[in-house]
Amino acid sequence: MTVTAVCAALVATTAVTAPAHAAEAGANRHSSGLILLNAENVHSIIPEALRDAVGVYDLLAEANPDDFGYAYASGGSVVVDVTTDAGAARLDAMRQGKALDTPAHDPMGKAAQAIADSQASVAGMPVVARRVSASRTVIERFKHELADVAYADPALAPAGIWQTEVQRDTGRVVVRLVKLTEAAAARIVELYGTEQVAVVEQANPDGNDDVGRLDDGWPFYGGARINAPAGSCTDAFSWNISSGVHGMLTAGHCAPNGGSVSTLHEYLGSITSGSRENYSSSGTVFLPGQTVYRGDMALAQVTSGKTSAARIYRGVYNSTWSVSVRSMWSRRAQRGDQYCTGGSYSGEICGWKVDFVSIDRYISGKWKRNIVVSYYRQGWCTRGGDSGGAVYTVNSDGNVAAKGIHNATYGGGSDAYGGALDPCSEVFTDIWDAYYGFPGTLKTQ
Amino acid sequence: MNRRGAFASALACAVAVTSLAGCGDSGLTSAELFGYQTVPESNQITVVYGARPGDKPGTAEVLEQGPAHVKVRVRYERSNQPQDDMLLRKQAVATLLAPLGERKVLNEAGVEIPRQ
Repeated sequence: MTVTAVCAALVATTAVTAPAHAAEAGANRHSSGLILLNAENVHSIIPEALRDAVGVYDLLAEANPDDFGYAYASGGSVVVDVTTDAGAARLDAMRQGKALDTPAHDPMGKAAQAIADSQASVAGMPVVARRVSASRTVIERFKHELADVAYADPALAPAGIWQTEVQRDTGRVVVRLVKLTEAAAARIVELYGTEQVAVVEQANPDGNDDVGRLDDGWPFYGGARINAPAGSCTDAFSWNISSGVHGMLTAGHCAPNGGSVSTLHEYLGSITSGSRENYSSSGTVFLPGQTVYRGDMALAQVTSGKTSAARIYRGVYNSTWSVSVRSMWSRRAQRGDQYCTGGSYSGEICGWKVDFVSIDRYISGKWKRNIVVSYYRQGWCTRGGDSGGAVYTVNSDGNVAAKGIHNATYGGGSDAYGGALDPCSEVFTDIWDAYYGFPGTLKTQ
Repeated sequence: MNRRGAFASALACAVAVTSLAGCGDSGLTSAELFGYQTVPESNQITVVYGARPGDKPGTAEVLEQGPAHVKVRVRYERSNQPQDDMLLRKQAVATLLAPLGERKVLNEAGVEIPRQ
């Protein structure tokens, strides 16, 4: 009988059924079929006497992720989930105080050394092997995949997923989210079924509720409210000024003489008069060394130690939902292009359609030059304070392509709602002008 | 025209105006309030509010005044002309029955606004 066969037999004889975790026994089911857990019941306490052993066996599992699941404590024993015969053999050797070989994923040899050093301390410890089908590699990939889609999937984004983790004794990925909406539940079930995922409804203790359009902190996102030198505005998109130097776009008329910019939460950075904004008492002016007018735009340099990220807020005026900025539009705006605006006073408004490009227009007593205008939209108009906000189109995955910087509006009467007699208009600066006019490029991800 | 006919005409007119000009267009816009200023012993309160460059000057109104708080709002006529879409900080003055003292100042929605 080979060692492997012995080990396999050993594993088989010591294998137990999945331990009845407290959360499993008391789990509730959402109407979608998803398992709902209490925040306190996701993980069991590891008895101190077993903690080192669990840690060492988990090191073995981590170094051989295709052969193992996870190590944990249950019923006074260390339980190790095993997926292959090779894993079973390694576990058995470890249990007998003899590590088989260098783990597969241990380039610096540190895991091997730690395992070797711990042989004596874990030898003789009660260890139970449990055969499972999903390896650590698979489960970890699944955990990260859920994090990837959390804000990329329009059905999941409003749920506010803020943590994904593995419940080791069940091998499930646990998703902690602010609110399990019906749409999010249905989407999770559609993607992953009802048995691989469990859900915990819980406010984000790191303050997810405190960030958003109205309380943005670094890394700064576009679409948030800012206090600019000239008044209350919104920011548009994050910008890579140069390596390690981060920026944020907004409207030039929000800082016609440059100055400091803050979100409602904290200081963001500053706009250099003349070179990082192109607006003056007469309207659009040339940026230094340039001979083309570039709308109404400004670039704030994020203060040292803080960053901006390739994301913008979408949704209502106080939304905390953000999405990735995938790209800059592949060309300048053209007549007929449809787009959305995202301001911190009016929130997201879609259904705008470009009517004029590269026009000069007299607005608020100044000439805005080479701007883009959309006329005659019925419905909600943008509002004061939306200046500098993001202009974009939405991809099929809910992420966006940057199209410009919101500047001005008219119509809508006293209620900012455009009817047939007072339809809304919208004015923006093309993102390509920021590209040509400022150093650096749009941040995308 | 009988009374029923007049009512029907008025209703049709109201529906048409609403659909053409947008819903709930009362003519005045309630402003975003940034804060307030007072001078000790003065009954006047200066409300700092936001409006776009071309919007008409606002009028401050005292909606409630009790022992614990006063509730204020500022309304203005929103310009239909092309406007930079930022909110400038503007001021409007209202008169209270007594100096504000330690009372809180709330906006129309009942949210406290800061002293500036």
